[in-house]
Amino acid sequence: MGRPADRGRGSLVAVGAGIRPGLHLTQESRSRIERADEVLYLLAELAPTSWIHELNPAARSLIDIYRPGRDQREVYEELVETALESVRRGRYVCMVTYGNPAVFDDSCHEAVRRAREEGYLAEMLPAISAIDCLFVDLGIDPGRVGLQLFEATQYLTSERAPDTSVPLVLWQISVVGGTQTTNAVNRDGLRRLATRLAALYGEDHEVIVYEAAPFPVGRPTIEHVRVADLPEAEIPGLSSLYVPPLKK
Amino acid sequence: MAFRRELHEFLNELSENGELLAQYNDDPDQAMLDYGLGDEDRELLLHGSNDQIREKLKQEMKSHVAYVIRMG
Repeated sequence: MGRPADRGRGSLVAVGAGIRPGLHLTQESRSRIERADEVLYLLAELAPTSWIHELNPAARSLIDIYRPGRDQREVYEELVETALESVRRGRYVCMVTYGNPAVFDDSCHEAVRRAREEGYLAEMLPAISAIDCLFVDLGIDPGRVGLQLFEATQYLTSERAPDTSVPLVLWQISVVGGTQTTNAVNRDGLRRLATRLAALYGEDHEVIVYEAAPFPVGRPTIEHVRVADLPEAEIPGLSSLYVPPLKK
Repeated sequence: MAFRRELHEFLNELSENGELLAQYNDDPDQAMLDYGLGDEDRELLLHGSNDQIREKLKQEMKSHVAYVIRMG
């Protein structure tokens, strides 16, 4: 993958920048970015991004595709096709997203799947995701009692009953219940989520609104709130929700 | 202060310059002063929320969004 012999036939690699871009990047991913013909990136934060241009001057942001109010499926399709168009032209393309490209990232999974289906070399590399930061910042070892992990909207709509004796993490709670790209917190979705959690854990159960530190400096957000207070709580844009198990 | 630099420039520099990052970790305010960050930006980095920093970056960089969130 990415060796000179592969040049000219088109290939794709999806890598993750981690949560603190520029600091969380693995050496393996760094080398792919440096060697790619084209680097297409969509990071969570507007800055820092200069590090990626430093690694490869051909790097190009895809943020214009991510316009507010667009259907998320439409956005993902455009991201996937933008990458594949370059692969089909024989380019060695490196897609860079934030976190881990294999975790809650339909566009990277779909781009790799479609590229392989069309006969191109395609692979994905592991990276640091928000859950890795959560384990460290909240001092949680999933090896002790297990862990349940859901995307918040999927959790809300699936009617799945969690095991309340095992910790639960819900991703993307700021946009729970939504289907469009936005920077606004969906309070209606949060109310529905709180109602669901209250029925399982009780209104007074204390949960943690968590956001990993997204910049090279600064601290993570760790806010303890009651389930009943969740709809009005301050919810940073890239928050997850940690729901501790019920005490026996 | 001979010149004023913007918040996004400082974050970019931190992501590439280990010496500046170490200086920040030792003495955040001095590192920001030496770099040329203004009072408002220094206060924001020290005490602001991540969303407040995102809004400032959105203004500086004239972006249509403050951040990107994957939705599945």
